[in-house]
Amino acid sequence: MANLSEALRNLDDPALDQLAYIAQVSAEILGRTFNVMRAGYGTVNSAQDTFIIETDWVRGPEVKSLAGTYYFPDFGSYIENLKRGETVIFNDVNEDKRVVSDSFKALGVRALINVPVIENGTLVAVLLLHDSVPRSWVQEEIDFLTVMAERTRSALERARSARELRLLNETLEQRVQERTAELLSVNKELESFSYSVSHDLRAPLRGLCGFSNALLDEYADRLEGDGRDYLRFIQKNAELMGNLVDGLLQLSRLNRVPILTQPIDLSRLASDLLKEAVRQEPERRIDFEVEPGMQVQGDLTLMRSLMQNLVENAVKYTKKQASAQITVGKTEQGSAREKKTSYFIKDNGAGFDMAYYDKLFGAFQRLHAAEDYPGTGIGLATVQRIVHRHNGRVWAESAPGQGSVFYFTLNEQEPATL
Amino acid sequence: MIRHILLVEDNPSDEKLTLMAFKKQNLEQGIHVVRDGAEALDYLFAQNNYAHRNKMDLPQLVILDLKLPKVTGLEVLAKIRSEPTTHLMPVVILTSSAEDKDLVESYRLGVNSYVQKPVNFNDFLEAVRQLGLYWLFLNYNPPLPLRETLDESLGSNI
Repeated sequence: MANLSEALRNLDDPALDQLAYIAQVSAEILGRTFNVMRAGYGTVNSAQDTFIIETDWVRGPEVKSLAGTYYFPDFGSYIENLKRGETVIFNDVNEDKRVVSDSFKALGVRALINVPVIENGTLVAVLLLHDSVPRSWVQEEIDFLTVMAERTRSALERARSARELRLLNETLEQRVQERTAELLSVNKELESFSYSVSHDLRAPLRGLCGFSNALLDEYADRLEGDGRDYLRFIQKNAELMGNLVDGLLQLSRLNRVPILTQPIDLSRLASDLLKEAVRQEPERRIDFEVEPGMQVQGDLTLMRSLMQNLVENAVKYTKKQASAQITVGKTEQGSAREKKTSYFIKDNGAGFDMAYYDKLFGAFQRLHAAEDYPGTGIGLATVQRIVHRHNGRVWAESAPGQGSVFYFTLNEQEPATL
Repeated sequence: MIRHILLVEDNPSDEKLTLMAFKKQNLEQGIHVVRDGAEALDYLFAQNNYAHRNKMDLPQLVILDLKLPKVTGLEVLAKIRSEPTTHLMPVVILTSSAEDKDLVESYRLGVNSYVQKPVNFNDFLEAVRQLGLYWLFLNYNPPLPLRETLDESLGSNI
């Protein structure tokens, strides 16, 4: 009996998740303990009124296994007792008045006991013992079987959940792997695309640019005025397309490069970029002001590119002002404990109509004629990608002729992991 | 021995532009052009169509494109670095690509310099001018391989 308890406790072990093994062990323990010819645990399909024995234990090779599916109405009225949750006992099949299928005699069964397992008022399983000789089942045995039936049921249920969970995990795991493979292949495609863009598209442009230049250089005197202009147009366009290709590449690279976060003196970065921009416009008057002491966490290369784009825009779009004013600073919102810092760059330039705001950060979108303000139209798309890669937001406020303010935040939430 | 440059370039337009740029520096005389990686190796190691060449007459500089038919630029570079006659030879990659993986792989294989071909012709002229000046006049090349090192390596091949 002690061994049996031990074995029963093993059935509660959540690590055991093999359904067949549990049913088998349970049947064997019962079979040996009660010294019967056959022991089994069968599940009930109440919708089809069937009873399924997946595996049973038999005393020896002379006893036939009953593994299989059985139809309840074939067995007689005692099935109704089982369905009501009553244990059914036959001390001797031959002597019993209840309706019993002849099949018991054919199977050599004289005594039997069926213990029902009820769940939510429905018969879900039956624990059965068969013996080849008449037998008087005692109450202690019946009580023990009842406990055993419940134990087996709960062990099987846990095993079933564990199996379902494992299957679900496997499915999930497989799905993750599939998605990862998909992503990798898309990424690879993108990489080879940008590779051929960088290599194959630039070469013909270089030819266009170079030979139109050579023509202008060496044969300019043989061309009429218009002819020279046309060549210059060819050259300008080839150069512009070169810049577009480079911009496109830069944009696609932004999504691929890993972010290396480090402390950055944003004030100094902005000042340096503004100084350089002003130096390149010696005949313009540009005043700028940068709030000192702005420290951020970010990728230096990307943050420099971000600020460079914003500074270049501010300088470019103020070119029609007699005196350009550019301010870089920060604003803070929220409580002292959870304050949110937004950085901004403000200019007194041409501004834009907020009606077209949704186009502002799109690649190759322009809100001004290229003639007035030349550019490739990827500057702000680049800015937005960099801000997003730093888990921040970027937005702008403006009105035509009123200048613009571009705001951005950094590290708003935990970085998303891929 | 004359100073010369081996230009490995498969794109005829880029070849012409490069030669035009060298011509502006009066350097076009010493340039030999090959059009794929296999021909570059034949030239450098005086084999096949170049079997008549003097093995010791090696270029002062190899200008190598990356994307080449037959044998790629990186494979040519690897071969140059693995052979005793050429392993110290200055090699400059002059290519359209500035992809990180190309840069990393080129430097890993021991390239001396990596220059991206600019689209703008004036920038291109300037790049070629500086390359020519630097590698032909400013830079000191390693001395030619010692006779016995060569004999040894050649002897082992016989």
